Parts: sequence; structure tokens; C-alpha cells
Amino acid sequence: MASNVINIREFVDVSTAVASSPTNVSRDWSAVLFVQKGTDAQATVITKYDDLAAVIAAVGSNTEAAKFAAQLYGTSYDGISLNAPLYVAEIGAADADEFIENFMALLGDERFYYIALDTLFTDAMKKSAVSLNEANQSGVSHKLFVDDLSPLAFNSTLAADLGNGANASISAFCAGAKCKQCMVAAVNPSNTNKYYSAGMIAYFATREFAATSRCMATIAHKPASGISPIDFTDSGITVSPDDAWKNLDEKHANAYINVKLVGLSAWERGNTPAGDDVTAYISADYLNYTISVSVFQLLQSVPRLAMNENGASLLANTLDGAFNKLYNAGIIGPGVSLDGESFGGRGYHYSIPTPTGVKRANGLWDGIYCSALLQSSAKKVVIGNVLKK
Amino acid sequence: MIGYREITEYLSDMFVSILGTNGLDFGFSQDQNEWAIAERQAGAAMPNATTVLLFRIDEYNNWSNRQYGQSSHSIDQYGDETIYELRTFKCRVNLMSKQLGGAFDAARFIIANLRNDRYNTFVRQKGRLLGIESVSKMKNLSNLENGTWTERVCFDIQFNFREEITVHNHTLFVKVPETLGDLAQSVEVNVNVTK
Repeated sequence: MASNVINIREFVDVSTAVASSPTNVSRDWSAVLFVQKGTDAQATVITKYDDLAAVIAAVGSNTEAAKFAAQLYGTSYDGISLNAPLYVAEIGAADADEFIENFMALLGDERFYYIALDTLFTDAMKKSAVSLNEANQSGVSHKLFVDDLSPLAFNSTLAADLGNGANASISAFCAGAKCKQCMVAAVNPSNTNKYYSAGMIAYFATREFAATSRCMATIAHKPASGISPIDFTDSGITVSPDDAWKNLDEKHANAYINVKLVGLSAWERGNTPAGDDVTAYISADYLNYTISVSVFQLLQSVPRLAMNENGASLLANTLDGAFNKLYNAGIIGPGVSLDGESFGGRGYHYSIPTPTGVKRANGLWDGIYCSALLQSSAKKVVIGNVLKK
Repeated sequence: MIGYREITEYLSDMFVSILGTNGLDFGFSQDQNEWAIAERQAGAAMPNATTVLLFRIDEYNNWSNRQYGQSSHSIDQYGDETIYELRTFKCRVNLMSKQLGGAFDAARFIIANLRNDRYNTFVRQKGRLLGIESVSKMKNLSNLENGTWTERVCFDIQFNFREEITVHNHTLFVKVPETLGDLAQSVEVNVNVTK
């Protein structure tokens, strides 16, 4: 239907900063956690499922976990669907306090990277989850995907939406807080397939960091088979589709919509609520993780790593290996960063000074600094096909 | 490593031990600290002493780095370097006295006793830091003196010793982490990612 088609195509990428993510965390980059509302005051139960059939066999098809899993495993990109475990955590959430307590405990877990929330949680709980996840980045970093089914997100501008205070939509709440570690998926209010977040997670979780063909790239303008675009003619939406989209766009909400320019349904934006491309953060997490694991493996493989030139060259080889892996996957590359630092060759440089002082005596090799230039993130603002940056 | 101070203290003690109870007979000071003085310390005329022994370390033969000589050089497994070398030097002894014959007699007495029991007793007590290679004949340099001191007798003792210099360049090793989470105590990598 014509009125449901959005004629717009643009990248928005507002910041050069990429938040530092924690290193030294072992995680499964494709694994997903679905947080499900359990009975009040129950102890948290985490179950691991390997595919959709396993979820349905265990809990039946009419559960939120199964609905989420159906979207997650059913959405494919270029014919590739998720082949990774889904953890379902059933938590007691009688009120916001209980939710916060149980959700916080989950954030310490290293087994998964992507987190999504049951739509049965109240908006207040979802907002708490967003805040907790933002605050927890110095521990184990996770990316939180939240569905926003509120009509306010579509019908109100950001300012008007934020004016509702505690009743503001999740999109507006996250945009107001400039969150960088979560993504908001707009869902039309009466949609029964509520988990658009699962469709987004499926995209990121099917990326392969070691291959150029499926490297980390923005989700913007990527068509997903398995989900249908959101319906701007939904009864809850009272403004025109163009206005609804403008309102969502202002809040940096992501939406799966019909795009006239592309001619088919595709994701729009791929941003965090702060406006940055989320791939920058996921790539940065993966980069830190790769370096940590490589260095860890080096320390396990040699009897002793001497703190001298020989040790430095071993470390240099290891760092080269880690960075080259990312270069080969197209995540980093040569060029000039938005703030003017130039990167030659393979898009990275580092320094490894021989350690001195107390830290040296304690067996800590400190002072290693690496810089890398991300390629995968959207680096330009393109509005109406005009290059702006 | 054997330092200059150690050598001069050893020599000073050696001369005092050799002179022993006879020192006072030759006109040395009541205070044994004023008997044998490393030359760079000697400045003032000493009212309490009629005779005094001044010495200096000179002619640092073989104190250069003999790449093809008798030196040896090793590095142990922890990266400590040790350099061994046979060093030689000449100790120039000047005996000065205000009375005729004091320096002359004391010089003869010291040279004679460098090869008898008094020297051996000293070595037993203090250890053999230095080996004596040779002792030169005495020279009368009294005609160079025209002030307080009327007599000056000079002779040289050629010494050697085994130099052992250790260079503590310990190689330290990175602590091996047990889990990925421990890595922060072993290697700290700061990654700056930009767009």
C-alpha cells in the first residue's frame, strides 16, 4: 500500500567516539539471551536451547520464548539463519525492584552477547534494563535490544514524547539518555509478531568476523526474509506514515519498513539511541576480545614471556595476528579517522614499550597502546544522496 | 666489584699492620689513622707525626677492556652479566719524615716485612684481596723536599687482583594468567578504536 512506503534513505553517524568495551571476557558472539517474565518471586532459571525446535519442545509454541525464538531463528539474511544457542532466563518480576535485582544478576554472565526482553515486562522495567546495561559496560559488555510497541513513539515528536516524563516511550527515553549499548526496534502497537528485536539480533549474530563475505556491517537498508515490515496504518498510529517515520527517526529508533528508494522492505537506521552506528560498538568489543584472547593464548603457549625486546616481538606478532584477522574481515582498514588521525597499511598501529618500575616487578606488561580505524561503520552522512561529511 | 675505597682501605690497613708495634720507633704519629694515607687525602702538615706514609694507586695497567686478553664474560640464565678480569696496578709509596733517616728506615722495614709473618698474619685476618707481583727498589727523592719534610723515600709495589663485575640486568617475565579474566594482571593492552 502506497501510504505505507517511506521515501527516504540516509545514514546518520554523529560521533567519532567509540566507547571502550571491557577486554578479558570470554563470550559467545552469536549467543542470545532472552529474558522472560516468570512467576513472581521465583528463582532465576536459565535454559540453553540450540534451535527453535528445542524451544518449542521444551516450553510449547505459545510462550513468549517460543515467539521470540521463531523470529530469531526464522529471520535470515542472504539465506543464512542463526546457528547459535539461545539462552532463556526466566526471572521473577513482580515489580521493578525484583526485575532490577534479577536482571542485574544476568548481566554478569559471559555466555551470551545479545540480550532481548519479553514484551510482557512493563515499560518501566525495560527502561531499567536499558539503564542497567549502559551502566554495566565496565564489567561484561552486552548489547541490549528492546522492542518499543508504544503508540507514543510513532505519534509524538521527541520533545513532546519526553515531556510525558515517566510515561515517555522507550525510544524517547533511550534517545534522551543517549544510550550507546542498546538498540530500539519500533513495532507497530497491535502487531502480534512483537519481536523485531529478534530480527535485528539475527542479523548481527550471523555475522562472521573472519570472513569478508559476511563481515560486520550496518544493518541499515538490509532486507530480512522472515519478518514483515511494520504497518504504519496500525490503529494505534494517528499520524501520517511520513510523520510517524520522522518521529521515530528523531528518536533514533530502528524500524523494518518499506523503503521506496530500495523498492523493498529493509531496516532503516541501525543506530543506537545516541545516533551512532551500532556496528562500531560491536566491532570494538570484538576487537578488544580478539586481542585479549590472542595475548592470552600467547602467554599460555610460551613457557615464559620475557619483558625485553624478544618478548616485545612476540607480543607484536600476536597483535599483528589479531589486527590482521580484523583487517581481513574488513572491520578495520587504512584511512583517516573523522577526527583526523591517519592510519596506513592495514588500518592499525601500536606501541609496545618495555615495562619499567613496580608493574614490571609484578610481572605486568603495561603501557601497550593500540589504535585502529573501523571500516565497517557508516562513516558518512548521506541525505538525499548528497554526501555531507 | 672491588672499589677504589676498598683497595685503599686494604692498603692502608696493610701498611699499618706491617709497621705494627715498630711504627712509633720510626716516628709515626700516636694515632694510627695518621700512619698510612691515601694521597688524595693528604693536605695538611701533621704536627703529631714525624714520619708519614703516603701512597697512591697509579699506572692502571690492564684496567682497560682486553677483548682478547685474560678477561672472561658470561651471562647467566636470568640475564645477569659477569665480567672477570685480572687487573694490575702500581702502588706508589712515599715515606716522608721530618727527621733524617725516619723515612729511609721505615721504607726498608716495610719492604722487608712484605714477605714475612707480619704480612701473612695480616692476610689471614683481612683476606688476600691483592696479590703482590713485585716490589721496586727504593729511590731517595729527598732533594725534592724543601719544606716541612726533609726526607722522602719512594718505592713501588706492583699489585694484581681479580676483578668481578656483575651487571644486574635481570630479565623479568610476564605473569602467566590462569584465565582470560586474569589477563589484566599480566598484559595490559589499551585499544583505541576510531571511526
